[in-house]
Amino acid sequence: MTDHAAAGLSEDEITDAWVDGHADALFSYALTRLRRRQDAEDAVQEALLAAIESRQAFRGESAERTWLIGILRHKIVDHIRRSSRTSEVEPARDDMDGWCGKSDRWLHPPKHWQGDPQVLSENADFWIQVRMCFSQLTERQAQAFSLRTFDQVPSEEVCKLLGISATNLWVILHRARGRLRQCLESTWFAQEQNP
Amino acid sequence: MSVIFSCRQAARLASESLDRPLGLHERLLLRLHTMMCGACTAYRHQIATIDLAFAQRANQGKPYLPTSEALDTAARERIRDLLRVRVRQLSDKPH
Repeated sequence: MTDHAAAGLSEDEITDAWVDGHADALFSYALTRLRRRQDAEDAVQEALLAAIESRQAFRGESAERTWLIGILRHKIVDHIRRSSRTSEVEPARDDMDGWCGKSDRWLHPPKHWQGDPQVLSENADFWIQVRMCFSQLTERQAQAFSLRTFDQVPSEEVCKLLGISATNLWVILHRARGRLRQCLESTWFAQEQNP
Repeated sequence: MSVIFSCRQAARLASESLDRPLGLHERLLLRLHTMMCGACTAYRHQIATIDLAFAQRANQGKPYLPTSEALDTAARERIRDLLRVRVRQLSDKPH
């Protein structure tokens, strides 16, 4: 609160600054990981309430958005851990069965993709396609993959957060990547190469 | 094409190489396999491209996917009201 207080903002103005300035980004963040609208709204609400409680602790060392996202990440991880007993179990059948066939060769061999990751990362249309493909992941795959790539959390830390073994995490991430690349190849990259 | 180990194993190792350091033996197997297998070379490049694109979007301050709809007005106002109530409760509390 220090910078806002210094700027002479009232408590209501601080609340408005958070809700109007950050709530949409926080909602997108939560929806990427939880996927159900209601769960995402609940997580944003919980995170902002927790932020209000501990706003004295915010010293303005990190950007306010980053600080709020850090709190939200913990709320989401809590949610995933609470719901892991009831949520879907990783299917025993490996997705690779659909691609390699009995001979262990690719049924549809992956093609070379044109495109630099940096350029792709700045293309809004690409991310709309990624969102569609991402929705095919299980909640656990989406969460593990987001923690690794968006949040750059080390593998050992992701295992602790999700309460799973390293081997389990590698399988989950392998399947997440396999599904994403398969979907993107048949949509985005098929168009790119055959306009 | 004689492959030392299967595409299935190569794809798995290619993914794990993004999450943990591979052992010397594993690195060698993966290298030998991809030298002979264009499909697995492409696969390895594809999954690395996806991981990098995600990381770079995060570096641009957007560690999330775009949403089709924003937080709806009812939810936004409910959260705003809850926060205001909580702020008042906190400032009424003697320190």
